Amino acid sequence: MNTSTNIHNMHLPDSFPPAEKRSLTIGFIPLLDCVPVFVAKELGFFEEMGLDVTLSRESSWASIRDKVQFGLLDAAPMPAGIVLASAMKLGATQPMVTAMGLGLNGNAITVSAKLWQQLNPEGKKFNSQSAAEALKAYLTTVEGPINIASVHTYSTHHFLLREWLTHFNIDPDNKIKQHVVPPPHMINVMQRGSIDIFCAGEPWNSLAQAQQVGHTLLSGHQIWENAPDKVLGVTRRWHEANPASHQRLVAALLKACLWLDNHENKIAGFRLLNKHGYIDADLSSIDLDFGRHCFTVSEATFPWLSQAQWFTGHISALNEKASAKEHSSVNQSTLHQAPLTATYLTDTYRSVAEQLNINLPTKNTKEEGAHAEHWQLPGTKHNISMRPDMKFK
Amino acid sequence: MKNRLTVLVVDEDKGRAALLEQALRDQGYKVLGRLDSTDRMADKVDALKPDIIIIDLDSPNRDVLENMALMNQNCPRPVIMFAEQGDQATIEKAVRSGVSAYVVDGLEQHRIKAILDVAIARFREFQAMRSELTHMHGELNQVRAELADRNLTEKAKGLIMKHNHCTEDKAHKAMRKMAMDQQKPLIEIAKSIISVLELMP
Repeated sequence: MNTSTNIHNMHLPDSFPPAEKRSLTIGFIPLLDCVPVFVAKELGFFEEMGLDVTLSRESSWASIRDKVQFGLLDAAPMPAGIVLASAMKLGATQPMVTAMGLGLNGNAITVSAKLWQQLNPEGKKFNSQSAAEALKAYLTTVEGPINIASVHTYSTHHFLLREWLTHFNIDPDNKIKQHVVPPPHMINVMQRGSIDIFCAGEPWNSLAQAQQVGHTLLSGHQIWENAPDKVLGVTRRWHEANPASHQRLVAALLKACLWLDNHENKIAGFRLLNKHGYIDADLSSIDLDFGRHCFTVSEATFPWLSQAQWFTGHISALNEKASAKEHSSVNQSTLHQAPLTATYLTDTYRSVAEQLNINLPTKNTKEEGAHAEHWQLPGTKHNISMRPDMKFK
Repeated sequence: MKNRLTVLVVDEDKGRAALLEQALRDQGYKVLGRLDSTDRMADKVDALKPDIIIIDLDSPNRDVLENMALMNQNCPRPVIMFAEQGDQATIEKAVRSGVSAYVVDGLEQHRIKAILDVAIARFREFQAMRSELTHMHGELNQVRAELADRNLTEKAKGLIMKHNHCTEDKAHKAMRKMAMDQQKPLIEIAKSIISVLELMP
């Protein structure tokens, strides 16, 4: 473990400002990586931090974003890309902010059972290169486009897919049709033959394989090991009106992530999702650790500006592509790009983590995607042992 | 801009979609179709080219429309993108009523508002109807439960009459006395009588 913090003495001092808003509603989409909010709720961490939280199940990221924008939801775990895009006035008018990440990994690429047979008749073990080569070879043999789905335009999955294809010289928009399908619908849509490949969060890849609808082609960490994904999103307006509520929320979720930072607890946390009906699917038959989710504090939860940069790069590239594709009558390709520090609230994270005695990185950025082995990063108390973060394994 | 706006309704609730379609037609809009959950929504939107799409805020298909709006500038954009330019109140009311909309570029504010108002009114009406139905359903269940209780009491009484060879009146009085002595509701007494006497030959 990277921190010197013990979960049992992890609480805010009595002098900590009270929550401006005590009763909060947090939205979620049924996915394993939303587990920190379920754990904070079921193990009473929200309550300990002086918050009364209701969880509300939502059916699309657009719905989560709109409800957060208009205050029907106070906060929600969401793809970092949606938060950063809102600051660029893409898909939203109210800028959102985040003060913490909600873990690493948890995604995979699944191909239909039929395509799996074509790509890998001998059942070899793929890495990101051999999988790309098999796909490239297959694409030369077919006429029409193959259909690839991710869960949202600005989801990590979409970016990982594009980065993987592009890296191995496959044009993501040639002979490939990109779709968006909500995660809980992926398996059905694949079963009906409407999509050939999808990239989504767990448990939907493992379930597709368990139901023999599809087969995992690559896990997310074979594309980018320990890649960031969801963050806790709120609007800037909400953050400014409820600074103490926000900090208390971050404190409760940091505690949940600390609790989840060992194998037994993590699996027990995932099982909670089924037990309390947060996910309808039966998780008993799948390997819950397939996604290699990592919730280590502060490595996996710090709002790294270098990661924000990666997401923003992909958002800008997609926006340019969209602007170039159509001759829009309205010239609106200029992006309103706020500085990353206005969206990724590293100071908020730091102030809460300091209260909880958490070892913090001394810098807000780090080198991304360059470490094949564990590596060391200077921390405020002691060095932080960081996980490998190589791309394209 | 065409004079007659074309509308596409996407709603998994077929009853509500039909209600909304009728209301829109009554107001002179051209409704291009009603869609529920479909894999091919993107293709249909591409083909129909509606000026405005009215969709259930909680429809899982919304991220499909988001993708079209973000990746193709000629596709209808989420109505909340227009909130800043003026009609924040109507858009907020829409979100709270569970209505979402996607609107093509260049559509005037008042035309967006007019159509949103129709959708909001129908969604609210439908919501009211649904809660009325839920309420009626609750009342019906209560009547059913009461009836079931009465049947059990009658059954218990019958068993007492058979086993003790007594009149209905006597059996009834015996049950009431038991209920009073044990300070339990009559239905509980009836249930225990049935469970005991049914085992006897």
